[in-house]
Amino acid sequence: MKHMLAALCVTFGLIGCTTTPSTSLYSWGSYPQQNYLMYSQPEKATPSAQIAKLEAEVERAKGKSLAVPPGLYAHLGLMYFQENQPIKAAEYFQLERQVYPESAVMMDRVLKKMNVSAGPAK
Amino acid sequence: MKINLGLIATLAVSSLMLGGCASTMVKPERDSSVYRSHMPKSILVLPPINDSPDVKATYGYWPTVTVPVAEAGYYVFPMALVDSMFRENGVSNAADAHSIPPQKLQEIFGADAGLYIRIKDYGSKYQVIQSVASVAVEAKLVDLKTGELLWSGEKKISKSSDDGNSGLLGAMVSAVVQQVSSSLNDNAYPIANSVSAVLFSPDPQGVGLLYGPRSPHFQQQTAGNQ
Repeated sequence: MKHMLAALCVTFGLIGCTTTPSTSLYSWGSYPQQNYLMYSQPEKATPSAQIAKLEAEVERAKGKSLAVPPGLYAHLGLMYFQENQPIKAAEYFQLERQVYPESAVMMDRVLKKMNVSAGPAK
Repeated sequence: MKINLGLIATLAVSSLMLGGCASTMVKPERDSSVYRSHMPKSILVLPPINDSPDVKATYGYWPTVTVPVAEAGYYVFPMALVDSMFRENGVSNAADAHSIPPQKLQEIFGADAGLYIRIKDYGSKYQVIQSVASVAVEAKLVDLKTGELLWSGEKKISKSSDDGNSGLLGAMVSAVVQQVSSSLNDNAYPIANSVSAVLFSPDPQGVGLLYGPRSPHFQQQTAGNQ
């Protein structure tokens, strides 16, 4: 019985280790799974469903004062763009650029393209 | 005489063990001077080329790369946006993406380095008494400005349906894995996540990536090796 208890502790210790390492830089939430599902089972990850899930993840991260992972804001921007909400999309692309300056070239390219496709309304 | 034989056997075994020990310790350390001198801030993960028969491989494996590479301390470009930008520019398969000149990728995405992955194996093989799911990949990190190779690695993980690492631990872990994979109907995806975690996470042996600029270990690593 004692052995079993010990084994259980070890098991949970290991599981805890692999799923939520205490040294994690970012609050990933379901972002990696959304990326998987949107290609492998798209009906389970429509843009609107992803927006609902990922905006909740952003709030959760902020609530715990954890960093939102690289790419998540830009991913939300893409989802809003696919939902025909270019203003919301642009906001998220700007946010990615601001939080992660490494993304500047890519975000500028995306924003520029959006302005072009949005026509003279700028 | 019997005692002597026993002694000889013991000596032989221990020398083998010591030998094994020594060879791992003497194993030449990977030369990471080029990697260090071109330390990237950002990494573009290109769509992985699939050399396996399973058509799910590219989009099953690709999303598993983001977490370990970002946690190592690099900015990782968002996969879905990268995919959509390639497609809008007529690049609709992984091989085409890999053949774009590195400098061109640097110009379009503003990425410092590119991670080029080939999937050698992905999915399940059903054998007589069990099924074996395995994932095997090869990866190269390339400086996009100069085209120089910064790092390379490969990893294969297989898991059989009646895996012998018995005991409570084995039973519980495989139950977790099976639960995840059956809900996704893709046996290889959980293994793909393990492959990426082992292959890309920085480790003391220097097999994985080095810590990148966003990691708290980055300064320490630089200080310790100069």
